[in-house]
Amino acid sequence: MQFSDIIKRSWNDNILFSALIELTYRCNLDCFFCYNDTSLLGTSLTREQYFKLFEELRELGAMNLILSGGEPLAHPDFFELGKKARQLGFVVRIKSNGHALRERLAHRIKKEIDPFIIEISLHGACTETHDRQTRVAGSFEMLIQNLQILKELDLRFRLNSTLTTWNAEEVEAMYVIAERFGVNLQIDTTVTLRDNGDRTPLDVAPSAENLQSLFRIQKRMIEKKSTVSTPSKKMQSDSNMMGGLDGTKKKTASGRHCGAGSSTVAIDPFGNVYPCVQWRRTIGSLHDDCIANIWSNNESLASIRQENDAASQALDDLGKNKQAAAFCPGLAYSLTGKATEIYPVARLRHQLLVK
Amino acid sequence: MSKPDTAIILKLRADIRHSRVGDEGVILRQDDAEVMVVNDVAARIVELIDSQRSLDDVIMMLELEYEIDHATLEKDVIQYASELLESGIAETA
Repeated sequence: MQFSDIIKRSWNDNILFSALIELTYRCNLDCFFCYNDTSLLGTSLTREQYFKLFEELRELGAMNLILSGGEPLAHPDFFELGKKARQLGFVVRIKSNGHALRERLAHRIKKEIDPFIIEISLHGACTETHDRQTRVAGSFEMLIQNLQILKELDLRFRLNSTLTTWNAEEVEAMYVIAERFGVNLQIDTTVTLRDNGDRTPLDVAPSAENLQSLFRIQKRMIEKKSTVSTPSKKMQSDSNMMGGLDGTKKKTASGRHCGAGSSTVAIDPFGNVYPCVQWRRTIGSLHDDCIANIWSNNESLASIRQENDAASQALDDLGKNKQAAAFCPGLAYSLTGKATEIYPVARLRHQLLVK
Repeated sequence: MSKPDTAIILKLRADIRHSRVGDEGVILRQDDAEVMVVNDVAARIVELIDSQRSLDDVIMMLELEYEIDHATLEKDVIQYASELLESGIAETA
């Protein structure tokens, strides 16, 4: 059995494989298009509640634990929680803006948490663009210094970027930065609205031309790569792990559209549980119930799983290569109120890539 | 590499992570981002090795859990332990 079959199985059999934990919405940057609802109020989970949650997740068989935020390092118990996750045998991923990852903290992360990977946000290829998006002067310079530190410490990391109208002209240069550090750059083509429904972030959503340009660059890179090397077994594993181990990225020919609510959950700092980070429909609260109960006896989750199946069928309308749309039922739900509604950007992506 | 003696205690290397998905096992070697999918018995061996038991103990536990005769189990566990050592997933404790 291949790893992709395992992921497929976790979707279809509702096997919880990945949990994304938003530890805090505090952040040392102030990104213009951040999707977090920083006005959300509630009682934060305590360290003991997190420990209990991690133990239960492991008992349920979850393999991935993604520590996210806000900036997860801004949580006062970040290291304690990371150590606990390691001790329980999770594959730990950290999503960070990289701003605070100076030598001392980076060293502690390696020594105490040993994450599988740190995913770091890159917003542009120069100070002007990166700092414009983060709204913190000096953040680009700091990030580049910190990436060097991570490299010297041999910490595994990759760069994540969201394509915006502000950085669209710098895509090639961003790939050059990634290459300089010998890491992957993953570019997300979707700017999402904030979790409270605020549409302001969409002001910087990429245009059709921006998308077209990105796809041209990526096509050129793939062609160039295929002429110089054949992917090794290790590289194939690498792409599986980097892109797919969170249980959300692999595509299936039939059945569920994605792992939202069937193999993944996301948990906000106040203990609210969602089917995934994008699909902000509460399925329970950890202040009221344990994750095992929320996962197994839940009408909201059952309905989400049905909608996920329906989303897969709705995509059939697009015809061949429907995965090119990179459709997200969670985003569809927040944009249109229906998880099965194919929103314009997904149609556009499909149109551009299939053409 | 010679086959390990059943008295030996193995441990998983520090960069190894593993989990179950139904009756399959997933093993990740973090350092080179390599993922392996293994069957039920192999997944159980990895779990038992992770708790630092000798191969004798592993064989005994498996005998209680699976309807496989001792001789077959011993042969298979020694073979698999040898593969784990060779592939760098496990090392001598």
